Amino acid sequence: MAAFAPEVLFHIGSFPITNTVLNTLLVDAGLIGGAYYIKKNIQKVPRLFQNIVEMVIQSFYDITETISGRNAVKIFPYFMSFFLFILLANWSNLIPGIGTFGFLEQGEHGETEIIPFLRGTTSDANTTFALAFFSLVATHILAIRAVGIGEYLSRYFSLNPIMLFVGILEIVSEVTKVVSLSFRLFGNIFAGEVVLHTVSSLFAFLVPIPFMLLEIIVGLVQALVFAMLTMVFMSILMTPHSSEH
Amino acid sequence: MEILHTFGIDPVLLIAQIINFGIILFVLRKFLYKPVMTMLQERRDEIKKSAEDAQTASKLLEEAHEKERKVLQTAQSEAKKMLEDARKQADGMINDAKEEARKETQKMINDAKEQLTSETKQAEKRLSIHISQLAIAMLAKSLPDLVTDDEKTVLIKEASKKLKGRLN
Repeated sequence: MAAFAPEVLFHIGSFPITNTVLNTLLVDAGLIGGAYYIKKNIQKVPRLFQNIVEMVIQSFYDITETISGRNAVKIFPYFMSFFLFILLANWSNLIPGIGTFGFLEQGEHGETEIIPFLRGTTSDANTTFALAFFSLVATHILAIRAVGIGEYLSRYFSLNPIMLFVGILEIVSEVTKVVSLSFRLFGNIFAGEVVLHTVSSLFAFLVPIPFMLLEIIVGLVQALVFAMLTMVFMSILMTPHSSEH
Repeated sequence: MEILHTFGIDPVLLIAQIINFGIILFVLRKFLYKPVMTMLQERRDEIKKSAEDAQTASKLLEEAHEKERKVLQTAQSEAKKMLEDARKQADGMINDAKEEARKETQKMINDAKEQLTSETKQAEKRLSIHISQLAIAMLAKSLPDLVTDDEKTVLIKEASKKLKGRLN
């Protein structure tokens, strides 16, 4: 569990199937299954599951609306999807047995190590980078669509030397956004995984429970932070320069 | 790029994850947000509509009550008026009938009086005729000794003439 990189289980062609990829598929299955269930069984008078889903979607939409106003309709799907995907990915890591079943492998120093079949996908830097990158690209596409290419470019390039410098800073900040988003998520979840692994290898019973609870909260908070930041970035970039003041 | 290797960044996995999230976004948008938001909107509209309907219904009910009250009031006042009219009419009829009866009675009394008078007159007449005839007869009976037959006849004629004249 010391390695950052996900363990490759097998290859399909040249595509490496890692334990995080399997976990991603599990999360996908959960999300798509839930969505399909809702789509099939949606009713005027909601049952428990539909009620919960409606409540979550409604309150998240309301949050989006308070922050981004009329852009809420465009931003909301990204906000909600990031949140749901990351939340499920984070929590899937806490399902008992997820890091326990796996291949036994001889380590470099001769000790046997478990290579688990499943590993939380958000504890893989590939996933978090992919999410952050997706968030960035989506943000900029939405921004260009919302304010137009001229207005969009004027944020970064200007004939005014001061504004040009600010523009350069803006470009740098866009890069840091990706790095901070991805590493924040990756760091938190990976660290949590390591903590859980360490604590349960010290005391298998009872002692890991508080850490599990902590990880549940961390998983929720990190999902919320990622989604919220994405939403705020989108909201900022979709607002024309002139109306900011 | 050493750091990328340390963190296990693999371009293939990276792209795979990006595509994966794209699919997830698409699926959720299509199968989760859209139907749920539509349903929420529909339900909101429906609740709004039913609330409005309820308001309209209660307004209508109130109006109906008001109408009912008015109709009842009108009917009551009309019935009162009709009753009064009927009473007036009845009073009039009774008065008329009384008047007529009074008149009739008066007329009958008058007629009876008249008849009585005329009958009395006739009776008187007949009686006087009778009496005069009796008187003449008595005269004729009492006279023979004192006067001649001729004088008798003249006297009688004279008397009967006088009587007749008086009677007539």
